[in-house]
Amino acid sequence: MPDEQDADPRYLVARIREALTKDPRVNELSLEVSVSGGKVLISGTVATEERRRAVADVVGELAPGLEVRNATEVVTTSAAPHVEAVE
Amino acid sequence: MIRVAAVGDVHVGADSVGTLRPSFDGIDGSADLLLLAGDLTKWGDPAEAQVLAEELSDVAIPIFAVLGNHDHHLDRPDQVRCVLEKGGMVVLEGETAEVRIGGVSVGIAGAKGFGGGFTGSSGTDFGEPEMKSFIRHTQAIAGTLGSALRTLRTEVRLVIMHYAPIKETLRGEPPEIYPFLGSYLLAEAVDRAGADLIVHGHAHRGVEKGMTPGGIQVRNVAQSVIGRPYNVYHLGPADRGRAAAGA
Repeated sequence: MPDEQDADPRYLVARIREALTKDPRVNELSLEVSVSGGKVLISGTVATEERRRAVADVVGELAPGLEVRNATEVVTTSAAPHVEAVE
Repeated sequence: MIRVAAVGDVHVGADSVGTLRPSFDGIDGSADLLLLAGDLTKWGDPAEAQVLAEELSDVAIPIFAVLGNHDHHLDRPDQVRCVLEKGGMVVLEGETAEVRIGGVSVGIAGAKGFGGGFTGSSGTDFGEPEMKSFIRHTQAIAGTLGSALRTLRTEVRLVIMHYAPIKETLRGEPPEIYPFLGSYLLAEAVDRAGADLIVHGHAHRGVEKGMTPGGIQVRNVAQSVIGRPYNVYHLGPADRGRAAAGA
């Protein structure tokens, strides 16, 4: 898609979120996206390290003129399960 | 006491091989059954469901699951379900299952659920066909789930859904998207039929604990919310169930 980096940031945010949802390298709906000062910041959690790295690729392909700050994290699963007595 | 392990939104893909199996080691000793609250796959590919089935193949306790929106994306939910069932899981969509745990009868009702919003700011089946279809999908699921739940005569009744039945467990999500995250119709259906616990997923940025207007405990077990491979909920008197028998 040409000239994405020149689009109004409010619409660019929407396009980036849509791409991160639909692109099979990521398929994540819940990532937070902000665009400011020529930079894109992506945050939130993904299931695997491969998908975390792919976030930057997907955003970079969509808006090649913008600097991508990938602050996404892989969801934590190493902690011991929490036990709760439900009353 | 019944020990219920639960997690949702594991989003398993081809890149998940080997990532889940270690974290489910030992679950048989700490829980009597495992509930999976939907979004089991990355985008609904049956091959992803196969990865999940293999990752959980060493889990000996019964596994009950519902599908989520991700599991529907490639329009092959029946094949996803089939793969999971061949792997030994029980997949529920407006259906129930029963199991005995150390002499206690436990019933599980499950459904994907859907959106529409919550009381005071919810959609109505009015206007364009697309809007009517959206809300009627939720109404149909809530109706089927309630009917299924009413058939259970077990001592303990558990409900699994993917979408949220209350907005309290959505805190942290943008309020603008609440109508896409769940519906009060799901809570109303369960409140009318009665249950001991509802688990759901879908809201990755929400919080774990809430309660329906009728007082039924709700837990958002999306993996990114609980930050653990699964959580365990103890239900019922300590002198009943397998844990009490020391099994």
